[in-house]
Amino acid sequence: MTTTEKVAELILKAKKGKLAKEEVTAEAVLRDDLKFDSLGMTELLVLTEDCFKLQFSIKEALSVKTVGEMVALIDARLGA
Amino acid sequence: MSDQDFIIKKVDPSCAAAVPGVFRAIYGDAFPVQYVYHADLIMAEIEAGRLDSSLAFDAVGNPVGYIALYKNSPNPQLWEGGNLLVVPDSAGSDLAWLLLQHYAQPENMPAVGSDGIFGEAVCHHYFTQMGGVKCGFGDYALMLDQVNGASFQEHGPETERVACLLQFLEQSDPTGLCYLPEQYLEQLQRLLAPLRPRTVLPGSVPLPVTGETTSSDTWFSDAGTWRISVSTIGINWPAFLDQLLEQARQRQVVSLQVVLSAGLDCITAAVQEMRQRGFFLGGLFPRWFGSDGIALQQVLGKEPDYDGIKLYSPVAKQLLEFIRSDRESVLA
Repeated sequence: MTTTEKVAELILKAKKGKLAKEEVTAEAVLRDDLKFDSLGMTELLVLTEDCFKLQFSIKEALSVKTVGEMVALIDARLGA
Repeated sequence: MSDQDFIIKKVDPSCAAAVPGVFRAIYGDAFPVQYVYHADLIMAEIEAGRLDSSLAFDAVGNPVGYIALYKNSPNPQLWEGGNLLVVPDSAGSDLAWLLLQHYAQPENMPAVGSDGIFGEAVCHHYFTQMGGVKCGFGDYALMLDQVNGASFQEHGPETERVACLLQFLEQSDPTGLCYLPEQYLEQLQRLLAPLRPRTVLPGSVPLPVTGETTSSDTWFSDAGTWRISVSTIGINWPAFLDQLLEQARQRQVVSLQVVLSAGLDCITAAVQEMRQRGFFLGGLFPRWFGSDGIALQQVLGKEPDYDGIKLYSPVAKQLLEFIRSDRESVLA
């Protein structure tokens, strides 16, 4: 499974069925398009750190606005 | 909106009048601490050294967020961080994160000496505790069923009660001895490990045969939570505990918390009396008295709401496991 596919899965899990798979595109803005609030963003961050065995700083977390940026950050940290 | 669109500045006479509006935007007039609605009282708290707070303004100068440090423990050098507010119009921004990390920056700390900052993160979501860990705070105590779930207007929990995780950032070197109860020696040493070096000894002296127990307390009536801070122990310690439990039942306390000073060399015997009465470990309250505090707890009249507890750090998860096991052994 690619990072993109894993991230899409995590986003759907974090939204607990309130999002259609088609809405999770690379360009989708997490806050505006996918309607993640601060608590939702934190849930997603916890799931992501668990899944990829990574720790992100607040600065890194704040830098991510879109799904594509999230995938790029994870790949960069994994050295992919 | 990016973080460059917000300015966070310390509350001073030029902007104190904006604070009540931020509280009203979220709580109406129902926030339980009344001084937040009066600029002159806010400034009096700040000038008295009991409050250090900051306001966030948006790009056009509207006040949109708030965070504060205040004094809320027996140690006048210890600050509590809280009152993190973001007005609804900015709730979709990253402002909450920016405010959370504001006071973790040394340059934003109060000018006078500080032993540290503690915060109590609710555990029905990850936001505060994760933010705390990422700002350098450690996890030290988990107090079960501390908050009434019905008190949350937004993002309410699925359980009746909510546990709180005590997080702490140490900012001065501790002095004095730290006596630990032998029943919890290993667990407390694990919690102490990230803190600055202190001299730790087992507190194995018998209970005193003279003197009186002295304590201070805070009663959170809305939450049904009663916290007692015990600074000295006297000959009346067993009777003090019996009386405390009787009063707690009369008050219909749900979360009963007793924090013992780790400056007490009889702490093992004191804890033994507590465990015989159903108290189990809560964890460490670093620098609570100047010296550290050892917290024990009881949940009265109900089973603890374990199911809704979300914990971020491995330290907190291990502490919860220990607490559950300790409660079972105390009740067995």
